Amino acid sequence: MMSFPLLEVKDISVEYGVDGKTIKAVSHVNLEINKGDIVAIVGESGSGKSTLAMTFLNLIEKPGRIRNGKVNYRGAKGVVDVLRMRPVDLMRYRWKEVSMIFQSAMNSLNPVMRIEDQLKDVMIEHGTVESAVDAKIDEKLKLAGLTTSVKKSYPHELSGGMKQRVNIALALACDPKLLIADEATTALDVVVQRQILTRLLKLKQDLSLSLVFITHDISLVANIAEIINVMYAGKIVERASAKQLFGNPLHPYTEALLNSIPTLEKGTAIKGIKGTPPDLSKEIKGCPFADRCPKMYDRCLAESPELKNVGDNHYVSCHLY
Amino acid sequence: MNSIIETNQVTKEFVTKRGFLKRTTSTTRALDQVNVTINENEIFGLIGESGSGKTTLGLAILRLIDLNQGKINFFGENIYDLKKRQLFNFREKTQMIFQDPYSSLNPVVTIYKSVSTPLKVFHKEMSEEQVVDKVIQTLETVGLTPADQFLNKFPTQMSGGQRQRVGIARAVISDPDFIVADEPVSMLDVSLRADILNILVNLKLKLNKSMMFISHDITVTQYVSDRIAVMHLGQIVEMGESGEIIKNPLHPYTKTLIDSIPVPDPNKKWNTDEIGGQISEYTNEGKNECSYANKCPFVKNVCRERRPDFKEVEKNHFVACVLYD
Repeated sequence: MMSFPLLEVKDISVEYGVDGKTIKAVSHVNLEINKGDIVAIVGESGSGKSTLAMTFLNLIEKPGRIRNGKVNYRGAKGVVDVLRMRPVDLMRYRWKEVSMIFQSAMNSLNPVMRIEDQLKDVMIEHGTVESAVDAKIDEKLKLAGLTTSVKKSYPHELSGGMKQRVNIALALACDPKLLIADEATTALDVVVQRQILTRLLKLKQDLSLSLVFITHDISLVANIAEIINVMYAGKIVERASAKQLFGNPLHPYTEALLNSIPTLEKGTAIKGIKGTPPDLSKEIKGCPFADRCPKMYDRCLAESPELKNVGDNHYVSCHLY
Repeated sequence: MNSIIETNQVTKEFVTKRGFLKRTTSTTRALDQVNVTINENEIFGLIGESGSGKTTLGLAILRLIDLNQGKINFFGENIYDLKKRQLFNFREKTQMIFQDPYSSLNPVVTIYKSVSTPLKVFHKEMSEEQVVDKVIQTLETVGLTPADQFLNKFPTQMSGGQRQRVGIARAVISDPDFIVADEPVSMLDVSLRADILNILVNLKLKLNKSMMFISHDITVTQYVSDRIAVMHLGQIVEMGESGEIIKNPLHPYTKTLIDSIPVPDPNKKWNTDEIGGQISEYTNEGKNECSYANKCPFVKNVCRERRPDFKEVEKNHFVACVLYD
């Protein structure tokens, strides 16, 4: 891979201070997103996937705080660290360079503003000239697969799938290079989910976008993502291409996760993962998955494994390898 | 096989009032002449998109709402005719498992109190020790072991999967014959779903319970269900053995549903065809046409002229579509 990464996350750690306890939501994560890539981040709730994505936009707010690390973005003016940007630059970076589709379609739109005004707000704020706004609103709505008549509506007049499309139109409003979809289809039913994903893939091709998919449903990204990162307890425990990950999962957590998916083939029993994820407010000495892992041995309790390349760009953090 | 639930032409309308002085009214048919039969010792899956009326049917079967039309028999007796005493017995014999384990448990009540309440209502004769024993036994059935450690916990001290197990324990402790499970795993992580689904299957296999399993996820539904019915805008459009529905879907809507399931196999290409029909809010206004006509890629004139009959096309496989006339 000769291309420089568009976005490079280096050794990032995020903590939340709640009730006098410190919860280590993300610890020492490294990640690269290249231009035109589709990268997935998969994990259970509480694994830190959304927190990680928020750092891409420097969106962590109190009680959260970024402990250490860098988020390097390669823009027109060279590489900059998003976490150390001046507020005025940050405003130009958000929406215009990197934008995000938020989790709940239902709640992320302003209920008392017409759709066109919400789009206009974002566009004007981020430097679109007033005279060009109307044409651009129509263009973005069409890109998101909506008819332009939607712009006169209020959010409550639209169905869940349509609201999620408005969110896509919003995210595209300022022509970003990278789009982060945080559980973008989780609240929707399968048919609408397919329509939204199809739309996103088409946009990726037409606009040469880079995409980051965040989801708890690993089956959703199997045939979409090029690279899948599996997160557990604030760390990336395995990273591989979709083919490698599904064909040859190395980390016992990934394996367990794949075994828990119900498929349409009758007769294959599905198994859940025993136990619960660790309490991230406590110091974890060894591997965070150790007490749920069927292949656990002495070393797993004593020492935390590093994420390492075991060949063919297949990364895993497990003492078995 | 004996039937436990039989619905006959069940129709439920909701009226919304709008406009100045709320003078404009519009009627939505949430249930439109629904006929289903659920057998003893069977898990009956009900799938459909949000707003299709799945939950309304679940509520109707438990007599938690009133109907505009039709009747529902429970062991041959119309539940809407039950008098006070009989209704009380019916409440004991039917229970519900709710979707959201975070809001369906009272946060200021211990697990023991939540789970023991049905016994205190329906079995006043039981002594305190007997109640404790029964609660412990039930918690163990749903995999909360060791049970005595959970008795004095509050819901906030438990994970989502554990809470949903409490929800199941509370539903089965009065030994009901029939349970409605309304989206019981949709709020849970994929890794936690498997165990909950296995518990539900075991309720049928080991305790001979009958169940209606409501979900928008066809993969999850076929895993637990013996038969599946597909609902669209208040109507049952297809019904059959679950394996048969998956292998040989007949109704265009069922086909689209099955086609849209993400397949956990990176070698299969994502189906990028745009699905026919614009997304928009259609509601069932009780018109005399096929409920899927507005979205169907195979729509013909006749689809808008009359309702398709719900008929048996193959053995035990019913569909409402003119393509099979």
